[in-house]
Amino acid sequence: MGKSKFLLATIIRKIYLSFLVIISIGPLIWIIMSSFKSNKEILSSAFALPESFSFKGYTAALELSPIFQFYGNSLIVAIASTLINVIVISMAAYILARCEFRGKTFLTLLLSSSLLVPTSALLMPIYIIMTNIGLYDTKTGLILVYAALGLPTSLFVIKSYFQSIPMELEEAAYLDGAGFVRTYYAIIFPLAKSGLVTAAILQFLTSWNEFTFALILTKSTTARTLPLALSYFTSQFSFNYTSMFAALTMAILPSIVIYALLQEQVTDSMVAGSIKG
Amino acid sequence: MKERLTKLITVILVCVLFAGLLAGCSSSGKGDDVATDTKKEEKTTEKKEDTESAAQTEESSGVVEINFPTSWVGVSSNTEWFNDRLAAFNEQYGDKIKVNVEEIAGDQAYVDKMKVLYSSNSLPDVFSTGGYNLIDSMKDQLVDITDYIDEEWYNSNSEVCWDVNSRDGRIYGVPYSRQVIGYFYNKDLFAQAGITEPAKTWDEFFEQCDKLLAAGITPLSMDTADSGWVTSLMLGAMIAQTEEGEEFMNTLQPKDYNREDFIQAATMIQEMFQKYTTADAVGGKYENAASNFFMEETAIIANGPWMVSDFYDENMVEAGFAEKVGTAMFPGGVMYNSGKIGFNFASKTEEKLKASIEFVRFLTSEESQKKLLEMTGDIPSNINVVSDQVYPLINEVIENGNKASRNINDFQSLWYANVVDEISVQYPLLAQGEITPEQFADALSAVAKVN
Repeated sequence: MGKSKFLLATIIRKIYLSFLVIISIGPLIWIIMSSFKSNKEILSSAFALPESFSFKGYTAALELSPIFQFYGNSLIVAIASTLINVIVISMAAYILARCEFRGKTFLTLLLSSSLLVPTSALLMPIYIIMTNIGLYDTKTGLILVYAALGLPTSLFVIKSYFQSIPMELEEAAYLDGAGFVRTYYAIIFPLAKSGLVTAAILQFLTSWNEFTFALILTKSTTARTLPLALSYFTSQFSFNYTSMFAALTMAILPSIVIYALLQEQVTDSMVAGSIKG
Repeated sequence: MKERLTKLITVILVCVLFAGLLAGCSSSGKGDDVATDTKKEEKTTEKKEDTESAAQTEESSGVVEINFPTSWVGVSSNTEWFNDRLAAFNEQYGDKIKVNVEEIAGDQAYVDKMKVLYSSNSLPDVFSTGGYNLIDSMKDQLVDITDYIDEEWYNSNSEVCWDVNSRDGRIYGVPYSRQVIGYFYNKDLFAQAGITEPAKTWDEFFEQCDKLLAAGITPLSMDTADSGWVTSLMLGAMIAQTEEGEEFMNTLQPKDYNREDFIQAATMIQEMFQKYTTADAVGGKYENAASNFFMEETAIIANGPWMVSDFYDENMVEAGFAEKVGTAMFPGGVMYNSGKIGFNFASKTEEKLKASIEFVRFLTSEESQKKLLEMTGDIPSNINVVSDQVYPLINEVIENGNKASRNINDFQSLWYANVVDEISVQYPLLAQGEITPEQFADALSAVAKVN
């Protein structure tokens, strides 16, 4: 009886895990497979294996769009905006989480309320500001805008995390002679690693996938980012699926490889805070 | 070990941050301009003083710089033609005019960017939306170019092409192409269903759809996204069955869609969605509709001759597919036979305007339009342009246009931009029976009245 129960549990677990693997990896494999097929094969038999492994889609994708340059720009913009966002906002979140001062609630509400402003309402004012301060068509402009766009989300995540850290730890640090700044950087910042990583991941993904501001605030290939490159493969009356899937493969594979190599560090940092806390 | 790794990552990240900041700061002086050589001297939106000083600099160097954003990049059917023409222009005019080309891939992205530039009064010197009508919503910032069009230039283009680019007798756009649109059908699938020739009336058209269905063939390619181009072409052709309907489909910016002919056409479209098209039509784009026709899963698609080159592309269709395709007028002898919104101008100085007009005159010259016809199948606005190097199907479409008893203009050129956008919202509701054809007409009227 016990043996058959154990067997049943194992089977259910395996089915569940297989299901998760299929829905996670399935679309990726489909994209990679489609990048080797002709448009005709994709349209007529979407799930069949390619008739032959042709790299024409890859060469066409590289000819049609400056994908590698956009990829490099995306990396710089996403990493820089994430760093600025997390470093600056974590300091603000610490003050809002720990210090008592007049107007604190108002300030917190004001910063959080920017989450409610629709992107379309921000487009024109930000465009005008960027052109007037000379940051139109620069990566710096995009970095600053993305770092600011992620402000309410990061503030909310990091502030909540700071509030969950016991005050006694800071009091102990003060008793041992640490100042305000040292307490923050030596005690609180490492303890909040988990919250910071969460905010950083959200911010990175927002910057990596953003399309509208990248379109409006840039005009040259020196500043444009990856999501814009993918528009090169469909227009109102023409499309090239093979090249689009080849471009997608080139866009996603490096990220997957980097994550696979660094996953241990990422997972470590995710759980580190919970153990220490 | 862990500490060293942390330090290494920190150093790398700081370097990336500073590289980004430095590259970002310096990139304002660089560009992706297709026109090569010298560095850019100006940004798209400059204060007036900056513009003047830039103009002085240009004057001293003798080269006038103009900005031209284009969606003719990537897979756009006009990419090859535009690159060819730009290279030819640079060769001929490179010492006088420099064209700063901004690549904006995707037609909708292009229109969206123009709207933001308009809001901040920084439209480029010259732009072309590929058919979307932005003249009415942006007229206050566009330059009236009537005085720059000489008689020879005017007479070389079809009258209907100037009409669609003019308002109150003044010209705001230079045409480069004419819209002649009917529908394509698959002769093999028609034969399997026992259909010998395209329908003459809409009743006959629906009978043919029933025959196709009975033969196990899905009759129609349709779409709803991106203003439901393919579907809306059918809608317009149905409206134009009568003289009043034809007049409506040639009226600029109608505000009232609560008309009997419009509601009747919407009823027929609803029936088509519910009985005669593919499952992916609701929510689908042009590419879904086209794919179904290419794969011979549907028998009919409404579209213009620019699609013809795809019928010969063996990367898209089976070899010999073009031989199976026939062309037809819409029932009632209706054809889209009109001009298309062309190049618009928003230069802020006389010098830049003259340079922009020179550039557009080159792009719309007989030689350029002949190449356009041969390379893309787009029918020229220039009445003198003919070529024997075009696909036979394109000539068939032109012939249908010449024989049509009713000639109409397309909704994207005529209707308000917000009405065109609203179509994509309302079509799925109409298709799923969540709204009636009357409510569909109401919804479009309500949006039109906001203007």
